[in-house]
Parts: sequence; structure tokens; C-alpha cells
Amino acid sequence: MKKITKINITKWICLSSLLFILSLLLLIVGPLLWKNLPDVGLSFLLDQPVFAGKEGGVGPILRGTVLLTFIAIFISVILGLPVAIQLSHPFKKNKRIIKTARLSLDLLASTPSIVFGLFGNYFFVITMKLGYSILAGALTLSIMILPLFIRLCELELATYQEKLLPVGFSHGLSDYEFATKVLLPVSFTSIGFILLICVSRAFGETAALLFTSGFSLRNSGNILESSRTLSVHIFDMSLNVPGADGQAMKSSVVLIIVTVLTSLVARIFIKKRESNES
Amino acid sequence: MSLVVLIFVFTLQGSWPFVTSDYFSLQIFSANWFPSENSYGFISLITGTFSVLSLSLLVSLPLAFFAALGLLQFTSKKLTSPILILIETLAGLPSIVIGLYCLLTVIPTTNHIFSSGTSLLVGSIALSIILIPQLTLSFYQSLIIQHQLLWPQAWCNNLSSETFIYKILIPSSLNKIKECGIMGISRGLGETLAILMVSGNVVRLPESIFSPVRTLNANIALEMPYAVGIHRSSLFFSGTITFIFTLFLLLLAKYEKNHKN
Repeated sequence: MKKITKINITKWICLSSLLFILSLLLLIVGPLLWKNLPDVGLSFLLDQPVFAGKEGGVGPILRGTVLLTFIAIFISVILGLPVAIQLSHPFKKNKRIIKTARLSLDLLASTPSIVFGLFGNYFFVITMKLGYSILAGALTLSIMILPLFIRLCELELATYQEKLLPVGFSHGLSDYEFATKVLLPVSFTSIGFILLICVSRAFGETAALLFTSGFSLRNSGNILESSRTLSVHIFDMSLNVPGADGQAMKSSVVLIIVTVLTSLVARIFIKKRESNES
Repeated sequence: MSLVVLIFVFTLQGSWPFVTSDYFSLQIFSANWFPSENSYGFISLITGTFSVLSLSLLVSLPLAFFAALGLLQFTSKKLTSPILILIETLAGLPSIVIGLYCLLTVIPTTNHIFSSGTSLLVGSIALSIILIPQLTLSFYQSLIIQHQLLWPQAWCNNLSSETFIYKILIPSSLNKIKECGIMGISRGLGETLAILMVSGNVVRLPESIFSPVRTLNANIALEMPYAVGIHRSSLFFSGTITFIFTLFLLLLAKYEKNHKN
């Protein structure tokens, strides 16, 4: 008989809470996938929604989502990559501008997504006169995933910078040459996988897109038109359209599969490389 | 960098007509939110936000902390990385999916047991499901460095894991633990739609944990589509309130991180 000591209690609490969390995953994802996966076929992915989404598929919504995500990722790469390179520079760590940049990125990361939605609504939709459109949504979303992208990129680039920067410097490369000809080719694949993580984050975002990319069900692929994304579609189906729970479930299966797969692949890859290096 | 300033300026500018209007007075501390009668009281919304938040933190903070401890100290090394990947998957689930799950599964259950339906309770359950894996990950990451540093020494000195955890690991990384907790709070504050879907959205001071509440963010999401004029800008003002709250929490976290080292 084991004695009941403090450490046994602690151990018991720890392990049971761990078990609880893991069982949450199985409880939520398991039944959802098991029940609805057979209904999600190619026709569901490609068809037009009928009766405000009660029947039919999610074709245009999926197209709008993919379009929006790619524009957002594209913009945030353009904005974020130079910042990440600067932030990971090993000799500039204590500059004041770098410190302020870090602080503001932290702030950006912890800002509620609905505030991004309000900002996007005011700035992109009204002030820049984009209207409810994919472009406005993508711009808002790109600002939202910027801190995540920069943080992950910075971690990746820092190791390369430390190893390679002295070499590049002693060969007389300028900062620009070093970044474009050495740093980016070397870290190309890992940045790709970081982008996958960002894609999974962008797919799941809802609140910021409600007031920027709008609710429209029909979209012809024009980026200046409104289109709802998959997660907004789920939100709308489950709350505003009575009797569309099944559709919401099916769309959420698609959403789960996309986000979980992308982030899983990326994270397993990154973990594997970390364990190879150490 | 300038993006943050830009966001702040524009949300503030959006809320400016409300702040300068006649309706911005002591009235905002009342519990009456009747936009059609020009009565904008934020207190019931703020109470709603913080009641949901505190109830879910009460559950999720200790649970996440102990789970992270268990992952560090009491699981075999081979299991650690698959479990981590699973928790990361759970943390990466879109919050809307969790909201849907609570709407379709948890609410019928609570309806059956407490006959309450959408309520503060379910809202905080949804929020906890979102927060727990994220908090676990951040606790784990903040503890693992100290653990790798100190555990071999403790083991060589023949300390039991009890002494190690309570006398060494927790005191030595208290700053980081606090910081993680505060960041978790700010993340919970920002959560909108999952709570909106399940918490009932009645603007009223909650009487018990079974009464429906509406949070600040949910209010924005619900009324934005049809709000015009002063009403609209009052929604921008509530956006500014949450923004300021998170700013405050972030600075608090930074302070906790730095003030002892």
C-alpha cells in the first residue's frame, strides 16, 4: 500500500489534469469527424450553397477563403520578413528601435481580434474606401498574423544569423546582399513551414473578418467583392440560419482538417529538425 | 511599429464622436444599455466579460499549470513529444469550432441537468476549452528551461521531486509563471465569437452562473452590423476599452518579468 504523501497527491493531480486535456481533444474532434466525415465529399467542397446555405456546398466560400488567406500571407511576408531579419540581427539587440519594435509586436499579438476587426472596418473599409471586400479582409488578417510570423521567423533566422553573419561580414557582403543571397536561400524551407502555421491561424480567424470581408455567399473570385470565409460561414450557419447545424458541422470538419493538417505537418517538421540539430 | 499607433488612433478616432457627445458622462457607469434611447451604460457588459473570464480562469489556470508540471516531471521522456504535438493541435483548433461544439453538445447537456441553456457557465466552459491548451503550452515553455537547468543538480543531491517542485522549481520561476498567467488572461479577454455563440447575450447584470450574459466583444460583434452614428462610435469606444485592458495587462506582464531579475 502506497503512503498518501504530498508528492503522490501532486503526481495524481498532474497526471489526471494532463489526461483530462488529452481527452478533451478526443471528445471534441473525434465525434465531430466520425459523424460528419462521410458526408463531406467532393461535391460539398465544390457546390454552390442553396437556400442561404441550408443545403448545397461551400464552393465559393472555400474559394474566397483560400484567396483571402493567400493575399494575407503574401502581404505579411512582404511586411514581416525584413522586420524579422532586423530583429534577429545578433549585434543590434540593444538598439532602442529594436526594443520598441519588440514591444509593439507583443502588443499587436495580444490585441483582441475584434479590435482588429473594428480597425479594419474603419481604416480599410471606410477610410480607404475598399468596401466590404476580400482585399480589406486580407489586409486586416495580414496585420493579425504579422506578430506570429515575425516571432517564428525571428527564432528560425537567429540561429543562421549567429553562424553566418560573421562569415558574410568578413567577405565584405553588405547587409542587403547577405540577406538576399545567403540568409533567405538557407532558411527557405523553414520559412515555408512557418507560413503553413500562419495559414492554419488565418483559416481559423473569424472575428476580425466579420466587419471587413463581409457575409456575401456569392463571389466570382474578384478580390474587390465581398466574400465570407469558412469560419464566418460556420458562425452564420449555427446562429443566424435555423436548421443549418448539419451544414455548420460539415464546414467545421473541413476547417478542422485544413488547420490541423497544416499546423501538424509544420510542427512535426520543425520538431524533427530541432532534434536532429541538438 | 507604426501599425500599433495606427490601430490605436483609428479606434480612438472611431470612438471620438461618442466621447465628445452629451451621452458620455457618468452614465457609462450605469447598467443600462439601451442604444435606441441613447443610454450607454457599460457596467453590465464589463461585468459580463469579467465574470466569464474569471470563472474560466478559476478552472483553466490550475489545470493548465498542473498539466504542464505533469508533462515535465511525471511522464516518460518518450511520451513527451507526442503529447506536446497533441496539445498543440488542440491549441490550434479554431475557436469557432469550439463554440460550435459547445452550442451543439454542451448546451443540451446543461439544459438537461440545470435547465438553463445558454448561460455564463457554458460561456466560461467554452473559454476554458480554448484557454487550457494554450496556457499549458506557455507554462510548459516557461518551466522547461529552469527544469533542464536545475533537475540534474537536484537529482544528484538526492532531492525528492516533491522538494524539487515546491522548494526549487516553482519559486525560481515564479516571475515567468505570473507572466504566462497574465498573458493568458489577456488572451481570454480578446476571445469573442466562441463566447458569443453560447453565453446567451442578454445585457443584464448576471444574477447567478446560470443567467445569460453578454461580453464587451460579443456586444461589438452583435450590434456592429446595424449600428449607426453615436451607437456605432460607442461600439468603437468599447473596442478601445478592451484594447486598453490588454495594453495594461501586457505592461503588467512585462513588469512581472523584469522587476526581480
